[in-house]
Amino acid sequence: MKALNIRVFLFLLFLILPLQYSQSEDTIYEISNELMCPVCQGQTVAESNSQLAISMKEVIKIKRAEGKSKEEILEYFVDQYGDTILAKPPLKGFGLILWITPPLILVISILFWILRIRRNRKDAG
Amino acid sequence: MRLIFRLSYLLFFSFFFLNVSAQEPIEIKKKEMANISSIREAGFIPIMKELQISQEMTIIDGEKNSEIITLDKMKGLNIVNFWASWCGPCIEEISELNKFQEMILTKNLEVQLLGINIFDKKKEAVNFYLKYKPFFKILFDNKNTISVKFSIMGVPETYFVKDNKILFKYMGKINQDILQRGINESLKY
Repeated sequence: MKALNIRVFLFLLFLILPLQYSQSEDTIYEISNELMCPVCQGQTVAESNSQLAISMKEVIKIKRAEGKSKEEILEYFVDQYGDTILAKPPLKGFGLILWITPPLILVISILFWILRIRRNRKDAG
Repeated sequence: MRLIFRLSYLLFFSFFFLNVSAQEPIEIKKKEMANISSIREAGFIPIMKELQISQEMTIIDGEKNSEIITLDKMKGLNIVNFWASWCGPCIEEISELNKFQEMILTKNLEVQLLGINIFDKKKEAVNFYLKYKPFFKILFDNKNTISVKFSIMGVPETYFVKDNKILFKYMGKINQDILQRGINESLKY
């Protein structure tokens, strides 16, 4: 019975271990997918196979092993290469304008057309 | 209708204002800007960043069991050239760097010229060393991460590091004139 329990425990451990490994691999992919490869045309570090992207993935792997969080790692890369390294522009300064302008233009143009239609109706009436 | 447009203008410009107001005091900015424009005029890319590094590197000297050193605080003026064996301009600039190293030694200048191989396998770096025989110290990056620590964009790139601060870099094939210009510019700091 005891031997069976140990076997079941080892089997479960065997099942769980790759799961944990894939989770850490997922995080590395997730982080590298949020970073643009500085020497590529519109490719993230995750998508690129350039030498620099490989080095960047290596740095991410080391920093993860050191226990650094995703935010800390992204911050490190911003410090090294500037805000342009981020695939998504940050929600501050000029980046905020990039995020807000498209929906703002959409809202303004909808309002513009609503007011215009109303005015036309009034004129017709 | 006018109100909508006025509000949108106000919102748009307020972001610019917020962005400007969050910057450093004007006095510091002016001095920094003068330094940066002087570096740009000399043909370099300003960096002005403290180097945070502690990395094991292998000295490439053609020997099988080469010495491993830890590259950390860089005192004095260091010229760090990054190269790869497959890079054409890196091969072309070797003779210029060798002449410059000779000049450093004959004039007894307090400058250290260092070559770091990146984006390569160690075997390729050793073969390159044996073929082109650089006179200066050549290091190999064991962990393949030093390129990120220097914010490298490609090869060849040459960094001017003074008292552990990266002042500026030169992208592309370097020659003795550019190296001398870099030293002159470094003396200002």
